[in-house]
Amino acid sequence: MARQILKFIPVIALLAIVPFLLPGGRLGTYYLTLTILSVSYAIACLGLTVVLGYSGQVSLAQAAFYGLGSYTLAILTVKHHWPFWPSALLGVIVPTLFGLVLGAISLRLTTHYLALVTIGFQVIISLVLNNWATVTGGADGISNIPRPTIGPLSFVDDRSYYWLMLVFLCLAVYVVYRLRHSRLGNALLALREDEIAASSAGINLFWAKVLAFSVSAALGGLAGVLYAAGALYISPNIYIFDQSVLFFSMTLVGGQESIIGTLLGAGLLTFLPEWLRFLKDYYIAVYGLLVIVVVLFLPDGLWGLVQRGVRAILRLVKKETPVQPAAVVETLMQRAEPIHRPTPGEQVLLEVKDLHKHFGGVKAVNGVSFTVRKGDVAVLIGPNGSGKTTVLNVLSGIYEPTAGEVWFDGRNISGLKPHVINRLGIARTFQNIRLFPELTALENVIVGYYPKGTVGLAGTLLSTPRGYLEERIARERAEETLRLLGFTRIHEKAKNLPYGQQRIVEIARAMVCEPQLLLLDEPAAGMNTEETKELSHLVYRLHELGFTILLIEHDMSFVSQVATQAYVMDFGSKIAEGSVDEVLRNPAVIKAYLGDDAEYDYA
Amino acid sequence: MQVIQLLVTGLAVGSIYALVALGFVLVYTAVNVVNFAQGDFSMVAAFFMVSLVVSAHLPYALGFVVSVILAGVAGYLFQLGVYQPVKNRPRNFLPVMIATVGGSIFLQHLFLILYGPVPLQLPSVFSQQTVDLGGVHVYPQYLLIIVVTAVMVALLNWFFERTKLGKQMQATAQDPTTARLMGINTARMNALTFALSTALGGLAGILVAPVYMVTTTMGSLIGLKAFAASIVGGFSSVKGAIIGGLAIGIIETFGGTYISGAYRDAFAFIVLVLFLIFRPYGLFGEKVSQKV
Amino acid sequence: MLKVHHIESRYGEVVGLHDISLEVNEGEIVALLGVNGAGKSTTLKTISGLLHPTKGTIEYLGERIDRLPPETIVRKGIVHVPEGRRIFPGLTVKENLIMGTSNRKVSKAEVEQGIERVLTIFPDLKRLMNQLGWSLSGGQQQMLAIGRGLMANPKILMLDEPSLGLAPVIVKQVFQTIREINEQGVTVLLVEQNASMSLRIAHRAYLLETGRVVRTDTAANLLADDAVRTTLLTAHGRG
Repeated sequence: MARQILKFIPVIALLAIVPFLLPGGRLGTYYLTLTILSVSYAIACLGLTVVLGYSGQVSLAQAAFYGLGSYTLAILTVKHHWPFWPSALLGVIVPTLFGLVLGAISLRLTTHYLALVTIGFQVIISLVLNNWATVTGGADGISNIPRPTIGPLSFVDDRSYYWLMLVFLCLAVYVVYRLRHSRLGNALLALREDEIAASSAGINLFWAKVLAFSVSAALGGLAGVLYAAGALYISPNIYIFDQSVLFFSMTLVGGQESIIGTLLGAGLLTFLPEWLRFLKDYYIAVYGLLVIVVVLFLPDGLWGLVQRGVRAILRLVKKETPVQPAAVVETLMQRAEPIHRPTPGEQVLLEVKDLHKHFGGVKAVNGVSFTVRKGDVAVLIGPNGSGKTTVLNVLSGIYEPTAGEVWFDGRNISGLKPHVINRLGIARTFQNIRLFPELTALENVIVGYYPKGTVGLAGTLLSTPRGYLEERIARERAEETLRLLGFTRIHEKAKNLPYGQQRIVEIARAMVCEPQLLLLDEPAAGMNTEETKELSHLVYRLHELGFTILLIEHDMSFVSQVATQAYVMDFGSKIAEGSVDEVLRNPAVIKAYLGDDAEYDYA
Repeated sequence: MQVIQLLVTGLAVGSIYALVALGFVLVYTAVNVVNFAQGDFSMVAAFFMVSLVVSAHLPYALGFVVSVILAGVAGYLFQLGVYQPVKNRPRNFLPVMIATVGGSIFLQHLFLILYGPVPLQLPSVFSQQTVDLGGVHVYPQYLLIIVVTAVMVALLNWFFERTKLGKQMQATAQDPTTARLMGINTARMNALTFALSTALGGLAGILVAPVYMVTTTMGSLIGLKAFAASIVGGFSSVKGAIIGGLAIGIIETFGGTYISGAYRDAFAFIVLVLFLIFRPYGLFGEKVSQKV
Repeated sequence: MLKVHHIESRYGEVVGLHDISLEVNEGEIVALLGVNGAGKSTTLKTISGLLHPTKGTIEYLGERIDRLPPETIVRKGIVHVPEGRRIFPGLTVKENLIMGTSNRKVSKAEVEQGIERVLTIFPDLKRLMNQLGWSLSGGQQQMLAIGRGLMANPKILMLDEPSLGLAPVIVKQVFQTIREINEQGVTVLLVEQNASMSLRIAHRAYLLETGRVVRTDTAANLLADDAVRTTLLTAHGRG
């Protein structure tokens, strides 16, 4: 996989020879200055690739981090006569710390709230830079910022400084690339796609957000440091809200999810004003229109357009035959002799005690108690609106119970966060399938393996052998799980899969960590007869393989084939329990399903 | 006495924020998106007003009404061109937000082309002298702002509480699918909501224009602070938007006078961050559980 | 009066209805029965225009309506009371009722008359007129939902799971009311999980399974048939 990074080499090589391609004289100097500017913009935008493109969080404060980087360098070198490199290092650390704080705040905030907090942060930083004159030099800014030397190497002239910047650009690209192709990157994408599913898959949303914001801020700070030394002079009017909007636009126009796209966007929008100069005053309006047009018509940016074009051409050339979907559970069914179905033991795995969950005045769950033993396939049935899904949502930590307790494996888990509950060994699927739509089937399942990983940011960026090993194991486990379920289209994006196959992938994601308890919320919903039959084989098989399962299902034929124990709910309370056949003969259950009618109770 | 003077100023500034914040809240409750160009419609209307009153010598009151209506029309066109094309994207918050940010850039620069970079002056109907009200010196324009805002809020209240159209707009915001089943043309209701909210923004712009100068960027900061005000108020509450707007206006005025003039523009955001940490659902917002 | 001819309907990828044909004659109560996911609600949504069929046609009084938006269909007198009641939570009971008249131009007097009529059917709503929708109990909300549907002056009233989540006593009342409404001349198309109750008030019924009509007969015949009961309890005809 490290070889894939080679695709950046032509881009970097092209960038490296730019100084030789420029015309001589003053025009050449001017263009080189612009190129230096665009490289620093590109690094700042790579930060947005992480926070916006990967983790899906809105940040309109990148210019603030850029400014913090620039000012830290300038103040330390010019006013305190620090040497360059330690100042530069602090120029990255200071914005990173602010990024940590912003990330921490963002846990509780989504969408517009978060956008506004970042804007507020941006506005406040601008005001401070303008007004805290004793430190920042106020509106006059700071001049005579030095450029660095390393031993005999001097980066004082524009051309060599430009090459030094390219080294840092490579570093930034490497960081973002490694992050994207690691366990942490998968977690960020999962966060972007579906927070509830991500947290149910064991991802700590808090750390994921903090990570995204701090990496983004660090890159913004690095870009700011490089800009300050490149421009030699800084003033607060560079680090304003409009500049944040510009960074944001650059990232989007190029393609927020792609590194090359981001570089393209940064370069393009830096030079666009030059090329549009003949339009005089009109160019900025044209530029605003460009942003709208890209957003309206190119959701994955210009680079996305290029990629789609290339793919279309390749398809014409290659004429690849579409892969036929294999029968869903074939492999699993063929794999081995029927194992003896385990009889449920005596050990109680899950115990729900007098659970209540109220929403306002609605008592969705009103005093439900039941147990699941190790080796059970327990099923919760009941008419629509009887509170079954709410029970599952409480068990998996999405809702906090209003009253009552949930004990799992000898431990009270009521009120714990979804990712904690997942790590204790309860994994789930959702009634209306919550896959990460833009991720492939395989990536979806790899995200499910996230809790088993241990390598953090440092390990990822340093490319430790352990990190690679873990990533390989996760990938192999995910492939194996999908293969076990007979699923073949592993590189297809989840959103392109038919419904029945999405369900299989969702089950794979839940079982890849081999949870002690698997919660399935209406797995047969929306499936046709054939798919339902296969699914019941699958659940049966999972049981044979030793999984303990609690499921909700309406389809009684499905239920009676797989379940060892049934609980019936109506109006938020349990009305019956026993084997499936027993409860289906229970008059109270018949009444709940068919309605109150004495004539019918002949049995 | 200075306290009362500042209070009047704060209420006037706050009224401006309240009007723009109302626009945010109306659109948000109706279609669940935030129009980041909301503030720019204040600028749009102020420029129309300058053209109509200063250049075309229309009577002040007529120019006033026409400019507000034009801001509404601009809002209608804006939703047609910017909101409608992206509204059906999955997880549409981000595309809509970006499209409206793009719309904001576009509007500002379009008006830069049309009117140039030099700030324009919209004369007040009143003199620039303060009037003496029992020892309190206030600018008559501030009183006008407060009175017009109060009248406007009363009118809106009448519209939403007493007219069938107002109720239909509310019904559309609360449950669009069921509203359609009742025969309500929800697309028209949403367009109307956008137009109403930008007209309110336009009204704010015209009212505040004689106090500040008319520039292409006058709307952004008003918009951002009004956005903060609407979140402080609870974001889905009309009452919250008004009280949030007034509160931010007053805090900013007093803070700017007694704490630091240079950081006047920061107070709105500091209040916002404090609110988000300690009371994330605002003054009148209700905590709603996420539906699974 | 209403003819649904071999329709297929999808939610994105998922086929909700495979092949549904049914007829509703003037003055009837017709019930659509079936287990969860059989396609009952999807059928109503397709008739009322929330979904458009991918195949097949829907005719109402001799006119094709399968391409029309819901706003237009409700103006023609087909009124859909959706599943889960869907009361406007921030409007009062009275305002909710008034919203029911949005399908036509009405005078104040007509609105008052309409409210009077609803109140004679649901006298309980009288004392709740100025309460907000969200504060009502489930049963009260259901009455309001049906009442709001009646305000639209329906020729066909389509009710989706009116008994959902209601206590048995209330369910009985609701069904009685449906019969009363029908006796006043309103044709009713009823979707229900509560099969026996529905069959007792309906004239005819259709039995749906995985998006297909598997059986249709008079209510009396179906009520007497054990197979129906089995189908409703255990899907896919497992015996």
